[in-house]
Amino acid sequence: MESTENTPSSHPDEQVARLVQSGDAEAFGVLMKRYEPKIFRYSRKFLKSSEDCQDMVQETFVKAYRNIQSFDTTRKFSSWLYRIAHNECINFLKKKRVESVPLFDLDVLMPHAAVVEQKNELEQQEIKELMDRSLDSIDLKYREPLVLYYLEGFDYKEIADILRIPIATVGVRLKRAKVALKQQYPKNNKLST
Amino acid sequence: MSIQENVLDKIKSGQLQMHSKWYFVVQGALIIGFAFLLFVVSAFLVSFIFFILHTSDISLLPRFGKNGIIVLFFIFPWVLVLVALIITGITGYLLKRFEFVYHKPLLYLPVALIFLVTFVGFMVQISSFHDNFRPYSLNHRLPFFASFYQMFRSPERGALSVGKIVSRNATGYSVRFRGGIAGSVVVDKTTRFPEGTSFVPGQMIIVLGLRQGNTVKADEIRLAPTRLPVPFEERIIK
Repeated sequence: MESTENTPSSHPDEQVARLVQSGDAEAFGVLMKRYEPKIFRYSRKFLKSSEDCQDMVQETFVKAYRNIQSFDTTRKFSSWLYRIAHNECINFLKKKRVESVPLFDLDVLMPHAAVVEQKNELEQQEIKELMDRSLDSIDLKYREPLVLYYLEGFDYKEIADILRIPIATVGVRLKRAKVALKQQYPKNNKLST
Repeated sequence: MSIQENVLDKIKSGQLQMHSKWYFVVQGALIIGFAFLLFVVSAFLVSFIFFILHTSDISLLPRFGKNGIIVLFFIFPWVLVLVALIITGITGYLLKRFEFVYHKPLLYLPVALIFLVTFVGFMVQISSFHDNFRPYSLNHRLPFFASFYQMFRSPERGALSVGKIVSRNATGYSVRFRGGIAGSVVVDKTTRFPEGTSFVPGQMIIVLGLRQGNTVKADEIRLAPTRLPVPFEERIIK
């Protein structure tokens, strides 16, 4: 029992990251094991080919290891890792030019009233179903918060940290993303916006 | 080979190495230091703009109404304003990575920076910094600063003249311009006298019009206010 508690695989991410920072390369394997499928799933929402996704995932972990000393272990590791993954996704999309990556967005410029989505089990399920069917047709800037909120389970502040946008903008984008999803499937009137 | 194995192999073989903690400490310090330096440069430029407005006759131009404001627009040191804005923009770009910045709407950053730069610039101006530093940098030929102060002298030269009437003559007035230079103001039918033409020797006048050498072709003449800006060439450093 004691030995299980002392293995990195039983530690929280931040503690494992601290081990990596102190030179335990094997501990990085634990973090990879935990996050490789998640980052791959995340990349699938933005990149078309499986090969690109694998490259992107590998590049994310390479950068994460190289920059692990910049990670503040008092903060959440997943947000830090997804920030790297987000940057890699953007780099891939820019390189492949398959999708336009906006350089500037008015949503980030102007202040917004805070919009907080109420988590509702039924609605969440519906959105996830809609996302499965029509996520590709949603703008990148709306797709990312949708994926991070509904699929990856991040809260507003964490999404704001990952995308480096104001917290209120996360709410605005989620709200607009839901409207866009709804427009893709006008027959589905169950969504509350 | 899986991604995990691939990455771990690279780590074990030394192909992939992490940056040291110091790398990030130095990087962060450089970014903050550079942003601070840029902020200081912007504040210096803005303070110099205030200094020009305070010490040159440019501030008299609005007294000429629309025509004066048009001239003011064309001779205003916009280059300094533009450079200060660009530097402030770079400062903002460097600060964008920090949580206290990106968690707020982006608009707040330039507004806050412009306000801060203007406020600090104004405080520097009223602290007589330029009164002391300008002659010091010129006397000691300080790199950059000496040529900077040389380059931006009274910008109204050639557009606005201030002088004391010595006498009337056939073409207008003989005057003694600032700095004790003797010259003349040429008056013709197009010259405007909104305050009348009854100027007498000994009175200080301000003349809007093209100055070539020591002669001004007057477009408009007005009485000078009792308190004139003291040009920086004539300012006494206490």
